[in-house]
Amino acid sequence: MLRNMATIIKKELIESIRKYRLFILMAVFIFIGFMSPIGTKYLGEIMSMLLPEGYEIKVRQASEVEAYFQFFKNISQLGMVVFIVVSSGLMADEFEKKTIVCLLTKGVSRSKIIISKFIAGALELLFCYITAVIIFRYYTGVFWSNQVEIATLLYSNLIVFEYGLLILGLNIFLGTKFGTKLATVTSCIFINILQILMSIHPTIAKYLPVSLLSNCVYIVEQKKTVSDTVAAVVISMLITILLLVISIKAFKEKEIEQ
Amino acid sequence: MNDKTFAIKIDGVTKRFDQKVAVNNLSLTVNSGEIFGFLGPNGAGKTTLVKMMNGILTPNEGIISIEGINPFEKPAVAHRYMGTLTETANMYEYMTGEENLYFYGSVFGMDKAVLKDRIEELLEAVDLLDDKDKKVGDYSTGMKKRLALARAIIHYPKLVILDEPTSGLDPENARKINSLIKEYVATNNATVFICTHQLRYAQDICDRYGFINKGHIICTGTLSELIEKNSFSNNIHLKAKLGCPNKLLDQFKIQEEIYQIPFTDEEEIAELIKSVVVDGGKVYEARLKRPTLEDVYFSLLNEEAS
Repeated sequence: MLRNMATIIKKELIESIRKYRLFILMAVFIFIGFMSPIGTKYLGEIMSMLLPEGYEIKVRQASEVEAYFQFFKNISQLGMVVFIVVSSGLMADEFEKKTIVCLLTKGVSRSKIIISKFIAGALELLFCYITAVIIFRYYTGVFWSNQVEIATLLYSNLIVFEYGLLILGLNIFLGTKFGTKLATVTSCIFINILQILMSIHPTIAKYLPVSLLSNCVYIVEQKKTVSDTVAAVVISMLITILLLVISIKAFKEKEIEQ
Repeated sequence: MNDKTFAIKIDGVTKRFDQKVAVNNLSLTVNSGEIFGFLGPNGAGKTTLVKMMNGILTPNEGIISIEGINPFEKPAVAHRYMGTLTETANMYEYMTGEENLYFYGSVFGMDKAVLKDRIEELLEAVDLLDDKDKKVGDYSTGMKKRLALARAIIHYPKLVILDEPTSGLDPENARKINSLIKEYVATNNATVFICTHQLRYAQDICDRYGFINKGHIICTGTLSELIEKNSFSNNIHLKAKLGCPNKLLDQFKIQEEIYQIPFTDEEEIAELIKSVVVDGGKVYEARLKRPTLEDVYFSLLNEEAS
């Protein structure tokens, strides 16, 4: 069973490299890792240089927390959007390119296919995310001597990564359900926007998975503690697992038209 | 006879898609070791049946058994016995031919050392050894089809299911596929189930046939059995200028000076030619026309339609 899944995971990673998915994701995350601290540190000076002569801007020293804010903002906006797009084809491509039948006629179980693709996607995200965090941490060390503790760094990023896993589960489900990348991306973005709109209500907000993308900043700012985020973390995890379960069910019931 | 004596046993299978019945109470058996041609027009239900045999689609009613195993209850076990080449399914275009075979062999659980030799053997057999390092996306249609056949038989299946194996291929590639299939059957004593609407191809390769139209079986049997069952006759195709009117021959006239006359005994041919010549006529051409699969197929379909 494990060998089966390992083969599929390896195939997914090869595909990710050859189709430049991993390259794109890595490039974006490296960019975020660099630009978040550098941009925060030097934004004021850059703006001063760009001002026409005779104008002056008062620049205050940016703090490390502001760099974290910038980092999480970039990850949750640019990083997650790119991740939604690059992971949208995990299942959808198999249907669009008509490769799924070859896999199924080799006796591979549908549940293994779903789980293997999830693991492969998670590994790609993890690899890119860790790279971004390492680069970011290096520069925050250079500019601000890393006053934010490692534990805070780890937890705040872990909850953002968890949201990424939820996105992955959602893309796998939508890809299985709709079978096309366009429908997958559109639906995923729509669901995210829906969450953001629902989070206007503070009572609901703390339970929504999307709150993890703001809780990460509050953790660093020490405006919230770990226990304040537990509800959203647990709900996120449960939704991710549920998405995988219903993906497997949807896949088993899906009539393959090829 | 129990299910295990048949390579394939299909019993009362029905498949509906919304309001449309694609396969309607279909029953069929395929004996081990034979090459079975499953023939029918487009939309008859052939591919739907193949998908059900592979466990990709679930029948609404009925049972399918592959070497005595239900492919829905035990897909992994059933697939050990069968290899499938589908008409439209593709392999991964960003991987090379060799990588694709490695992937499918590995996912099937084949041992690495065995797989290496097997892939080499197959690539040579399908004439793709020189192209093994090219990405499948750069392969021609014929090359993709040959690679797909290699993929289908990589694990030495006892049953090979081929859905339109020569569609979209030029005559040379179709011939190559044909000889590969025959060679595989001879070497491995395998059963082959071929879905096709290319009748000449089917007649060349198959031992027994099943005809399907609008989701149900019209008839099954060898060509001789089908001819006998449906009372098809052998004919003499005669091109002759008669010396005098001949009411007997006139009823078999199909064109000016061309006649198609049924016969049961070959002696009748000699007698017929002799009678034309004796009456002052001239015989330009006389040849035997035995019913072909095409004749049987169109006749049965027309009968169905009427």
